[in-house]
Amino acid sequence: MKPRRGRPRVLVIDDQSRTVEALGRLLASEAELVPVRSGDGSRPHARSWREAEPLLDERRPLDAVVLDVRFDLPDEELLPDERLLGDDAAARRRRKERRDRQGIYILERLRRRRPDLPVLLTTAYEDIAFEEAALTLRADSFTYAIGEDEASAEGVVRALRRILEERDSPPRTGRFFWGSSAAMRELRRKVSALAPTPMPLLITGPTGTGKSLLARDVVHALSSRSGAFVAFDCATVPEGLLQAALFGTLRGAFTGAIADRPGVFEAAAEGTLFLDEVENLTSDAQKMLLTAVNDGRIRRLGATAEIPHTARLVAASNADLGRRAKDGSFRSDLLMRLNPSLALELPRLTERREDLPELARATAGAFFGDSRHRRAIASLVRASGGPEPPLTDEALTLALSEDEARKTEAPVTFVLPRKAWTAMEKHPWPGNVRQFEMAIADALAAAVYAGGGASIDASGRARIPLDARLLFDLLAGARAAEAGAGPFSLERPRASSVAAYRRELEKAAMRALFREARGDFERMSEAMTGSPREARAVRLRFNKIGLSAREDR
Amino acid sequence: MPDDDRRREASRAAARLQHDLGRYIRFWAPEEMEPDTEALRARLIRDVLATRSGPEGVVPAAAVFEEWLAEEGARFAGAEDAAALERLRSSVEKLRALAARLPMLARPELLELDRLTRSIAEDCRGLVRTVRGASR
Repeated sequence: MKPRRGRPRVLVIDDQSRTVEALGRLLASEAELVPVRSGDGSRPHARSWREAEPLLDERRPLDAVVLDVRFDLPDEELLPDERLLGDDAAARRRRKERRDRQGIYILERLRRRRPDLPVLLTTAYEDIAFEEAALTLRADSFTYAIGEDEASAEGVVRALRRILEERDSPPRTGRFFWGSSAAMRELRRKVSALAPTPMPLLITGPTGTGKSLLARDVVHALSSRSGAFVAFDCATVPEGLLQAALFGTLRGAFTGAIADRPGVFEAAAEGTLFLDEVENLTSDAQKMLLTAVNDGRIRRLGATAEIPHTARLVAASNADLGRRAKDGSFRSDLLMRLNPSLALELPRLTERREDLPELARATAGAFFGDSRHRRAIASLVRASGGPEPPLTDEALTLALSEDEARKTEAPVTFVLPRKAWTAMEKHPWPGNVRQFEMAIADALAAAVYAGGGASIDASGRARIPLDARLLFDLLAGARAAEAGAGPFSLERPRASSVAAYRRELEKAAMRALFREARGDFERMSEAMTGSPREARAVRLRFNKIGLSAREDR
Repeated sequence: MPDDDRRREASRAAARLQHDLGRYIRFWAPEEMEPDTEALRARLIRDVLATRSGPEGVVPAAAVFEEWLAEEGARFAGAEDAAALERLRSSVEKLRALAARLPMLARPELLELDRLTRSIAEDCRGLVRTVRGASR
């Protein structure tokens, strides 16, 4: 995603002047309308492709194009061939057709030159006379149309603002990585609309796609709710304690309940309650949850009266809840209350491979942001005979090939060999974003703490190569873990007794398996038992022996 | 001309009217109606009397419709299309009568004119839907 850089430049291509008047009046200083010089002076819009084309080569790049679809132009200005058509019936029909779809022709030319330039059509897809063109345009993730109800000056301006905001959106919100793929931009739009509402939400997506980060750093953050974000992992709490953990207990409710204790619903008052892996709730807990969502009331264990709750519920699952509802293992009425038709679906990383370069750089940026790593990098550069590097964000960079490294001016560049990057681009990444981030972070850490140092060029710039072999091993290790096979090495535990040694050994094994499975408990279960079905038991054990999914990555 | 081609031509003609008239006749309409009568009048002058504005000058809404009707009207012979077109024609007639006195209209008449622009915009879109529905 491009960084913010001054007023965006917008080119309007329209034979009429109303849209450009609207943009000039309502956008005012927010954007610069690119002027077109013609025989009769200067105009703030291009009337045809002939006028627009030279502007694509200007030194200062365009940020967006606003394009009409129908153009009343003379034959010699009409694409596709800008020639006179004559005046018989066939020529008149052809002229009409060219005028009707002139915007589509212009867009085709534009796309050959600038495939990723955002283009706003000042019409709704539904109003485009050529339905096959409308379908093609919908598939182009950088072409936008206004909504059917936005056919006004304010509507066009609103639509353009949305596009420009998207251009300026940072690649991360908190720790959640967006990227620029069509799927994620669509998700971003959906989240912006749904997050501020109080309605329960469902987040779906395979493991490692960032469901809990999306819930915490985006949905909760955008909701402006005054209460806390409380995460509750439905897979890690033993069945017998679920009800107490969710709804709280009254003193004396059961043996050992020596004091009143609120549950997570109360802890998330006026905030967001995030139920991760909601498919793991028992049927009793599902029933109670349904009551809580339907009535806005909960009952502590041991209590006779219900109390209102004000938590907004966000649930996440990597299971097919629709199928679970059909086979009866998940309540369909609870699923309906989670608004499945509005579910925020996180795609697999392989479905958004175009985001990989940006994700690699964002991961490196997060790694460089850690002051311990910065100090280690500075010391590595000094030890390699380089000058003290400035430790700003801009000074440290990751290049995804040797060629790219040669072009960068940054004082310190980590260089990922081209062949390693190609392998990463093709890797299936079953652990998705989390697995990819761990691979990049591991490779960077190895280069900083155990690498062969930096090479310093004549200008004092440091180049630190990432170990391609290590990356291949990481990918191969991930594949082996995916297959539940391959070598399995442990750190040798030390302990003061045999019992303690046994405990430490189990911890070391679990930690190694966890890392190998890239934090995916289903894969751990597969590696341990040959089946993913024991994932819940694995996770319970993992937590019980004192390991943490966050800290042990 | 085979029926399918005829419907396709009608569909394109309806989209053309939606583009040239339906979309622009309320182009400057704000989300909230102008409380100030002169602001309302100024907006209606722009939307109704200068509906198209290009290098050749401005074209009022009624003229945009008439030009389109003369060229494409015959394509809409089906019962449903004809009814939709008749509604449009009737609204445009009323709009033309009011628009001729636009600088002198009192607020109630300006509001009526605004209502007509809304009705014309909706009927243009309705015509697109009717024709597309019939061509499927």
